[in-house]
Amino acid sequence: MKSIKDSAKLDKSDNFEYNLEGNTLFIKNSLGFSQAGKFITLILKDLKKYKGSELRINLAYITNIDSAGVTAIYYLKKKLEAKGIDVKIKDATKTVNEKLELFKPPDESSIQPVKKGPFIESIGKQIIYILKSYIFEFLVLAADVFYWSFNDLFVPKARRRGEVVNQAVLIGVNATLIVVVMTFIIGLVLALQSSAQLRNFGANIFIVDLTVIAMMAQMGPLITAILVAGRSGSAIAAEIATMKVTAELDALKTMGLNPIRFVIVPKMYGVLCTMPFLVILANIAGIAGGMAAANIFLDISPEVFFNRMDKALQNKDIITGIIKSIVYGGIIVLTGSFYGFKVKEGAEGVGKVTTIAVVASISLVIIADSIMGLIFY
Amino acid sequence: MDLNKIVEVNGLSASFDDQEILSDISFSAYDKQTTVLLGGSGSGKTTTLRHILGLYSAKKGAIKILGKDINQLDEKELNQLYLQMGVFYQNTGLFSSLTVGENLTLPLEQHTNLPDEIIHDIALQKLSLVNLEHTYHMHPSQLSGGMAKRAALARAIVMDPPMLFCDEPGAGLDPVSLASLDELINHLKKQLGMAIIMVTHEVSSIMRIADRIVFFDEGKVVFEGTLSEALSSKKEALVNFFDKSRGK
Repeated sequence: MKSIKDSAKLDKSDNFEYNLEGNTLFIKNSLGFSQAGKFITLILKDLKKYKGSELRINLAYITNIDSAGVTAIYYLKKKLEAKGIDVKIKDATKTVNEKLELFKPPDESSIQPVKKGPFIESIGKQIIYILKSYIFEFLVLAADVFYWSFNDLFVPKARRRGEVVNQAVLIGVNATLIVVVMTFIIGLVLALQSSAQLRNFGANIFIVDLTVIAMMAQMGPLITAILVAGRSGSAIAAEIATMKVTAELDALKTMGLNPIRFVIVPKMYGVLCTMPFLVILANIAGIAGGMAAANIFLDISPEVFFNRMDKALQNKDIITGIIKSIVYGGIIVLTGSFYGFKVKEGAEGVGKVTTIAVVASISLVIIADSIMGLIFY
Repeated sequence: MDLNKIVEVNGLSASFDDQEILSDISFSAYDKQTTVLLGGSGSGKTTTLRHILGLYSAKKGAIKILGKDINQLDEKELNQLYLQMGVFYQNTGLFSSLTVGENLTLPLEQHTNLPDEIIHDIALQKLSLVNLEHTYHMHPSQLSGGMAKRAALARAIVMDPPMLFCDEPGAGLDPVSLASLDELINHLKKQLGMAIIMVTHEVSSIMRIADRIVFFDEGKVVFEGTLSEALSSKKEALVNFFDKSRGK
């Protein structure tokens, strides 16, 4: 008996044997999930030396085989046939034959291939997809939300009683503490960093102008918007996405209720009512932080700070900050809602759109900030 | 015919928030047979299945699968036992982030040392058993309800388990799709020689696939026997259930 590898006996747990006699490969005992991987690795290595034009795989001594064993045998057959060896499976018992038939891997052509067009065409399709599915649909949603927001101002029946107050509390009031603390710290650090430079030029008093203008026109609204986007934008996206996945939005529609009027408009009212107040609080906190830094590091007393602030502060800066807060609030609600509606899959989809909504709303807020910075300069 | 017990439930009781859900239930399921856990909503059949699957731990009573008490097994032993159990969930449980093919190859990649090409072939072959080989690259969200159920069935049998557990497989399917799913389950049971333990309240399904019935009522097993014994039983709860299901 000629054997490739001394009968290729493996340890007991592997429980299979194979050996080659002439042009016949005998496979014996059990060949299942726990053996097939080792079997195929060993046999392919050993058969590299095989020079014959024909090979018979004898399965008469197989006692137990499952889908992994069958697939391994067909895989071996395919590999050898690719090398020009004619392979025949022989002498299998009735049970093994049934398994060979049952677990025969189907033709690869039965798989529907992933369609890939030419490169340029795929870029074009992507651009059209982005224009249609993102920009156009976002504008349509924005138009819908603004239309219903104006339309429903005096139609309280269009929403659940108390819902606007509820949303104002959730989105605005509950964010007060974090906004105030963060802007106070930012105002303090901003003044602290600037104080060293201003001291060099003996321009200590201008710390007031810097802090007040920076906080009122720029930092206050922007930091508030970023915090609200992270806190409430994500919540809006997750809420709407979950409602879509669990068919609650469909239920609203089939009850004759417009999801935009019922779900988004109250959020829009809530955010538009509270954002200006949040920004005013953020400005006060930021200036207070700046005042603390000015007092500690530049010996500018609060009285002097207030006197200078009176000259530095212009109505334009206050109004600009409030206009910005309203625009940012609108962007956060629209972006959160848009991505919430865009959810496609289950649990994973909700997480995905929530993340994208936060990133997109912060990005859009910064873009809007740049545009308004140019307009109100 | 002498059949081996594959699942033995003895004196299982369970309660949640001081409310008793299961009360001292005992029954067995046998090799190569379809055992249906039957009963109305809230009767405790799904809770029982979740105990059998080790998703809830039994506070009282014992559950033996293939002779092993699952409450006495450590995590490693329980994971080894899970390899012999295919589970078909009511809501499919397919991973939405993976393609259908990847859903099937995942357990093969994790639990075997097979080369990727063989893993691919096994997954494709299991999909072909449920006539879904063309969906290999699709995501579950692209499948219809019936197709998703079949894909979930293919994933449940991908490791050739000797036992298949099904939780309300027909939920949400129309009668035609339900009939073809039952036919497919029967076909696979014969071909793969599996034991099936199924939770359902679809009487039409029971008629097509059940060998044995375990009937639950208010957290208790009130009947255990063959389908024909169940149909001729005079037990009030069982008679009422069949009568109401037939619209009598």
